[in-house]
Amino acid sequence: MDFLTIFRVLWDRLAAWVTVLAGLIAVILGIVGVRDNVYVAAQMPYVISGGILGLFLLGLGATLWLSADLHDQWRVLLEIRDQRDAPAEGSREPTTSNAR
Amino acid sequence: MIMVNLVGFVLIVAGYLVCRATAEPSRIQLATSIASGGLVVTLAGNIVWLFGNLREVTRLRRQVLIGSATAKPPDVPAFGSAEGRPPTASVLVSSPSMSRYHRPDCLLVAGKAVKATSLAAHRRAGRKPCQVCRPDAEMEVAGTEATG
Repeated sequence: MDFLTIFRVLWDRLAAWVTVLAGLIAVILGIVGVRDNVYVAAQMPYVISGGILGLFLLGLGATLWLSADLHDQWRVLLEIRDQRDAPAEGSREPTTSNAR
Repeated sequence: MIMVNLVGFVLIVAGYLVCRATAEPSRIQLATSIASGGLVVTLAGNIVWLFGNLREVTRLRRQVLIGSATAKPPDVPAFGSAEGRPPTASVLVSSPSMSRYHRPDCLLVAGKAVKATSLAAHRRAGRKPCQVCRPDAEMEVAGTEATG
């Protein structure tokens, strides 16, 4: 399986991971910036850009991850419902493309 | 969701820019409030959005479960003997148009005209096991218990 296929199937989870990683990096950079400054006025930009922006990115990553789970669940449920409601003759069979 | 996150991001960036441009305590306090407000707006928006999606998934799940509970049981002809045999895992059902075989109680065959056939016959016909009821899973367990 090449990278493009992986990206197409798992783009939502990849986006979640990238966002969470960016959030962690922002928090760490914020901590480093605050640690190197003794003045509160100089620390505040780091608190905002590191701490608050980091929390924002972590929250966004968690939302993307949960959203991907819900999306998978939704697709499987739709497939089950369609299979159940389809007539016996010429009915589609369940596919394994969504099974993880 | 995109809109809420965009608004939150803009507020955080605005707070950062205001904070970086001044050393005045009141302005710094304002900047921190703007940035914190952006974070709160984003988190609240994401939570509301996730709960909305969760509610939709729950509604669909209920629809699927209630539908399968009220569906007519599959019409499984007698298999093996004249008086018939209760459906077990060894009795697998399918129809000529299907490319997979199922357990008799699988919700994907509920209400459909299916026939019970042996596993060997299904395999000879080139059918694969259903990925929802997984008829092979029980057989694998039974095989493991028999050998172990």
